[in-house]
Amino acid sequence: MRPSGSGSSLGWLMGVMLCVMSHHGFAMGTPPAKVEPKPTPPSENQAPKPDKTGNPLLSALLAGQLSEAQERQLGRRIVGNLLGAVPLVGDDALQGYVNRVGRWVALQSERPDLVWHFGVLDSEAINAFAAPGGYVLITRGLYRRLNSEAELAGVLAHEIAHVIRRHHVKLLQRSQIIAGLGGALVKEVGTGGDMAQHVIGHGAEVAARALDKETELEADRMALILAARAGYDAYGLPLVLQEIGHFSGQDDRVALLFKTHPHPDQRLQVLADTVGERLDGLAPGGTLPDRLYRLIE
Amino acid sequence: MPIILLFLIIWLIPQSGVAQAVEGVMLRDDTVRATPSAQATTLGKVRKNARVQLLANRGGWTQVRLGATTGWVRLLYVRRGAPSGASLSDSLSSARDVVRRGPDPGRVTATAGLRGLDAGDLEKASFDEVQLARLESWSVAAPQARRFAEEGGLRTRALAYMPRPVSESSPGSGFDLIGGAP
Repeated sequence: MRPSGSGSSLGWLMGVMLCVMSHHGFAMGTPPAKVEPKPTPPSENQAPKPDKTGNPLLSALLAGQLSEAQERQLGRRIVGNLLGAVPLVGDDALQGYVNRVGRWVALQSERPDLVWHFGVLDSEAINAFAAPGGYVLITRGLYRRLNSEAELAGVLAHEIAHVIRRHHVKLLQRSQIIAGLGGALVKEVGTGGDMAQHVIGHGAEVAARALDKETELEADRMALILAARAGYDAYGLPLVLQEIGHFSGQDDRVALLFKTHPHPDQRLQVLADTVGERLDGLAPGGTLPDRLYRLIE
Repeated sequence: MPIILLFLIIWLIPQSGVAQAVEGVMLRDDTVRATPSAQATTLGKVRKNARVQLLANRGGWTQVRLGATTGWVRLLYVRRGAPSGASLSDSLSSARDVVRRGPDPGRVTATAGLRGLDAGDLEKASFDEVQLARLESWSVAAPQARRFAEEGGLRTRALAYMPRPVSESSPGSGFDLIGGAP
């Protein structure tokens, strides 16, 4: 009995999981010392900043002034921890393929020159992730439900959108403070700057929840365009969402996704509002179902 | 007659973006058109929540059959499966159940990855330098990606991002945006 044969899901959840990831990796119950156990090497392309927290990365994060190198450093930390829990699929041909599709889509974005990394996680959960600096991961459970390269491009494009808009960096700035990653830390940073105080004063939790939804919707509408710019059919992502929409929330593989994200039906509704007749003149792009790399089961 | 219909469905499978003829439901009212184009002849109207059969996809259009009519509707106006009311409330209540009850231990196999992430296994997981190095070893350079696109016949197109829609919440969805990014 194969778990994939249940007919459930598809899902995808893209991005927000990153939120979950970020919370676990950085905020919830993780002492600052564990977040940054070692002195951070000076980043290559920026001058050292005043270090009020004793941690240049955290300082820069809280100040909203991450350099590209620091962003990558943050992403490596998140992804390195994730990979400690869920390893990569041991199929280099698959991983190479996903990197070619992903890099091609990323080239159509505002950050084409980031060092992009794509990978397939060895998990039956239906999910995808992005982390700062150009890291994008998709689970095998989601990958195996794709029907074409255009659908893969759509899913990756959604994650790429999170990276180029720095959604996770912004979320982390917020979640650091929500968790009070030490009130002391906030106090230290807050003595000179009013940034932390400003965020706290706005009811960080509510704001973060609303932001989660909005960032997902923003990434959805960007994904259609990124895929279309790359020459793919623009509707790969919505097709995946369509598929997810009818899966039961009873399926553990999507239950938590459904809990933390707008329902796929709602995302489709918003996309319908977004697209309207805008793309009517767009010639159909490539779907490339035959080029989609098939998993070795 | 049913045999002819069956033959038709089988014949359609390899040509369509839909793996098999499946049940679908309209997410909103739409016009049914003769071909996948906004300029196509109108065949009729289909109402929200109407059940249709999904036959194929082309660009932003999905071919549907309802009753004796076969035509094209906007892809974003339809989805697979049962009417959304049931499915949505089902998902929401079950999500609450999961939170209340915790993950079902009997289903650990299928959900190890997701459960692990949510249950905080991630915190216990140690930073995996070896896996990270593998991930970073697969990175593809821009020229290689361009060659790959060319092989697939993919041609770039200049398109601007779409603005956030005026009404981002749908009626009755319980989905309400507060503030958020521009």
